[in-house]
Amino acid sequence: MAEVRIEGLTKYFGDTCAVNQLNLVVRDGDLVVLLGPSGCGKTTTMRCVAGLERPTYGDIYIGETRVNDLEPRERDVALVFQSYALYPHFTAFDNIAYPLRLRKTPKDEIERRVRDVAEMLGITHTLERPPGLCSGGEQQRIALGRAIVREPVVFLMDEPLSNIDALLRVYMRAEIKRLQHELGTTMIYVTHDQVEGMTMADQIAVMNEGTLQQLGTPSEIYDMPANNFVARFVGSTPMNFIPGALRKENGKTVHKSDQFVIPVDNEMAHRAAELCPGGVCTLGVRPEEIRFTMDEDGANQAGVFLLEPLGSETILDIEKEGLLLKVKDVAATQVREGDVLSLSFNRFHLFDDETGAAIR
Amino acid sequence: MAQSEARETATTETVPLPVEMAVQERRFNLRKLLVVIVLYLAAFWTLVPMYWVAISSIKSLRDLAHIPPRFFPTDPRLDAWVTIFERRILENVYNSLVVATLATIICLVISVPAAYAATRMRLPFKFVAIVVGLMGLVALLPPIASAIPLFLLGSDLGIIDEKYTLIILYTVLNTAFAVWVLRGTFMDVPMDVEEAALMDGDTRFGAVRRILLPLIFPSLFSIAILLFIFNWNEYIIALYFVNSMKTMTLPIAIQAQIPQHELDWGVVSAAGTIAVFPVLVAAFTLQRFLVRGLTFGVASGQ
Repeated sequence: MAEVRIEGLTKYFGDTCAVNQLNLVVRDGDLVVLLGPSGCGKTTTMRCVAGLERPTYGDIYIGETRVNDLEPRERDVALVFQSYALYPHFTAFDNIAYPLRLRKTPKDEIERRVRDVAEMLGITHTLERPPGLCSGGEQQRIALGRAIVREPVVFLMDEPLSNIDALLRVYMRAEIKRLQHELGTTMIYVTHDQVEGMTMADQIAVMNEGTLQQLGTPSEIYDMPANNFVARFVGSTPMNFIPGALRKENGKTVHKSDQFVIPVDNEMAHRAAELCPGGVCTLGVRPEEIRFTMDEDGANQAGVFLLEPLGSETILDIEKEGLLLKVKDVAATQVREGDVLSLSFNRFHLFDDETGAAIR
Repeated sequence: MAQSEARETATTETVPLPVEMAVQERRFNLRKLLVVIVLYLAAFWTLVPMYWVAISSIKSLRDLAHIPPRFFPTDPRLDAWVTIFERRILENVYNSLVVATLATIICLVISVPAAYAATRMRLPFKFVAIVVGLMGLVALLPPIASAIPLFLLGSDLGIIDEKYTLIILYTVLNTAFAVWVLRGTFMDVPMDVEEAALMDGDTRFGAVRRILLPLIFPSLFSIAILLFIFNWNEYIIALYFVNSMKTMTLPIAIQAQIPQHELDWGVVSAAGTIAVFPVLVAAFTLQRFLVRGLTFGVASGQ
């Protein structure tokens, strides 16, 4: 068990910069999710921690040890690959036992520890089979078993759930989180699936184009996105963005766009004036933060053009003068396509158009 | 995966695969019949010369000279075989075995690490492309093109008519081919599996020995057998470098059975039969391993 500290990590492949000046501290026992679109540098970061890539610049510490120059085998970290990377010519038992055999563990102890881990993961029945004859879910667990059995100081997971079907994924997500809690081992988990990130993480590190965008708890990331990239990337129904500018109207600040006029409270207006002198900024609002009434003569009217029922809730697709908004209707109101609604915006964020940074 | 699918769709247009034939079982099918006939013709075409050589070695002189040719010996005898053993053919077999086996093993010992480096190490792409390209070129070069310069070099060094010279030459000439083929094999094994071994605590060498090589063993074995057959059959280089019974390999020995005046086809055929035998054994083993290699890949494929 150990803390992982990444300081100024930069990794170039030829002329391409995969990771740029990354600073990140993973506290001992935490599950940190590296979240970002493909090509954002999250896997490269993890491979640097694993020792499969060498950083171009920067330092990586596991516990108190600087590990830059250590081989993977000297770092005592376990990695679960996206493809599982099981050894096809070994049985499941031998797959799990492999790290122990390399450490010259006594035979009876290997036997005991492999059986324990297999029982914990519910794969005792597969132990005598080669991985090729196991189902995807079983292979996944064998790969987990191989990582767990040697009790490493850090777990690294590289999109371990992306190759199994959706139902099993929801189940395994919880399973991995439970295991991590039980073992108390530090874990770095790489994924591009924001739902996985939100549900599993103690801390989420959102990355884009090789740089860290925001580090925070899932609720911090969701409720207080640091910039418009984080705001857009996190949330299963994405945030709505309304480009416009801040203006004074009747002594009050409003966010004025081609479609809507949205009042901004004084505190936010004050900070916006400091941070974004031109006042040009984009308003971001989550689908569940838009309230609506069927009021025909209220402010900010817009028409519903499509309903997306999801069972427990319905997504209303609203269009006004070329701007599309998604609104979550949890109350199962009787809105129909073609209805005109009057919208009000409950909680929203403002993003500086130049830097993309949130104003707060 | 995509490749095999493409191949399947391509073949359905022309010739059905055995698997497909099994699926369409019982339904009489003209196409199927045609395929079987073509396959039998091909088998006949390939096997008849071998049969002919074997049968000629036990034919009497009368049968050998008979026109039209006789497919079955009327008066089989072992005279030719007695003669060939009297001429110490077993020494030639021994020479061929030693040269072919050692050259195969040494060639693999050199080309496995070379092919590994060409696929796994992050070398500049251009460098790898040039080296591997040149090797491919060498592999395609006709042996006669290098035989004469090599002979001159060999006689300057005074190593003509030595078994080890043949072993060195066969090793060198086959390395390019072996690296080329092995490189393809290595590229088929995902990097992940080796990296997993590194993460599990293995050294790079250990990962290659315990994970990579066992995984590609069927292919490795197939390549070894191919190399062995190449070495076993090699004639041109041996022709230049063999001077005496001490080094004479089988292909040269067979040639030596054809004297200036009186040609005994029986003896030549007996020598030929001996030469074909190991190749046949190798080919059958190879076939079994090729099949195993294929299914192995399917079982482990994700």
